[in-house]
Amino acid sequence: MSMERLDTTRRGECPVCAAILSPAPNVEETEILPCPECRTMLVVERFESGRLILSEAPQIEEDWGE
Amino acid sequence: MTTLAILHSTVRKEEKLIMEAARDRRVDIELIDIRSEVFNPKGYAAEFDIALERSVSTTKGDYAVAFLESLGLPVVNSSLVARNCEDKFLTSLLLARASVSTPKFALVFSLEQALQAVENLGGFPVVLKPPLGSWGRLLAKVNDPDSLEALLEHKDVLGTPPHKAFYIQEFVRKPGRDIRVFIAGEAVLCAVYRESGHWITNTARGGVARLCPVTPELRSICERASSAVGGGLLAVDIFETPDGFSVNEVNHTMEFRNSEEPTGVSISGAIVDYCLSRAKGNS
Repeated sequence: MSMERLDTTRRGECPVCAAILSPAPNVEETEILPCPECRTMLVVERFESGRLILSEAPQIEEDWGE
Repeated sequence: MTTLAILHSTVRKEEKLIMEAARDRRVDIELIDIRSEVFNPKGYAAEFDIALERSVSTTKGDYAVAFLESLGLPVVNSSLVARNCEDKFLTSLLLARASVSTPKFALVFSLEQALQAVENLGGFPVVLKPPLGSWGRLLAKVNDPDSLEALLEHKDVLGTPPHKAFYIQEFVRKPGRDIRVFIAGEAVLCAVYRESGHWITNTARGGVARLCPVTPELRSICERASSAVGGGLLAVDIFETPDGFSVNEVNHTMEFRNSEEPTGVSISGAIVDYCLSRAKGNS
């Protein structure tokens, strides 16, 4: 996990518009990121061979909060 | 070495700050995405010393905490504290019972009783809130009986059963801000003003956080509010009124991303330190 986390070269592809994302090196699994091109909210599903696997983020649900 | 389990769903900036603070303290972290867990007590292997509940979903967080507590594992915050804080009616009842100043409130199930409650609270405007909810969502400032009738009819027809419990609170005229105070156990960590031109001042809704001095009076009411709900890692939301401070709500999985910078206090660090103090063998 820590080795993955420090890899600064990881990229992922937006599943909606195919834009290539290069998020900050401290990105974590399950983190939500906006696609810089189509603005779709994406979630980091997992790290795979140095790549970020992204999918569309879950919609905010009624019981979300603090 | 102590292992801190972070029970999470979607990771927010707060969880990342907590992870960073734990790593700075050389604390082992076990990230548990509760959406991927099977909570079956038979054979569940828990290899941590303390769990911190940080789920963005209240429901899922509640079940995860209840499960781990049933195995005798220490979890922050406890299921009791979570229950007391997540339901605004329960929070208000506990504050009132402990004589902590809080806005006047009532809970009703029908329009007729709602109109009676508004009269008892001092008249319109009032604030209608879902008893369960966060980030200022579905709050309504209700200015007159017609609006109240329309809102309640909508909730009755369109809402799920929890939305058919109508929590009504007196409308408090705030000076364009409220106060959020962060607490870790016995320690009042720091406070921010949440400033907004809108009557809903949540920073999740665009409110801006600025440093608020923790006066003895503010400290005292927060300590009493924390004690009323069971204590732990809490954020107390407070109104300033002509009669003094009034506690609006208490949050049990607090968001603080906008509050470390203006206060200069590492809230994430205090959260980790509090967890360590409650870990197996230290509590």
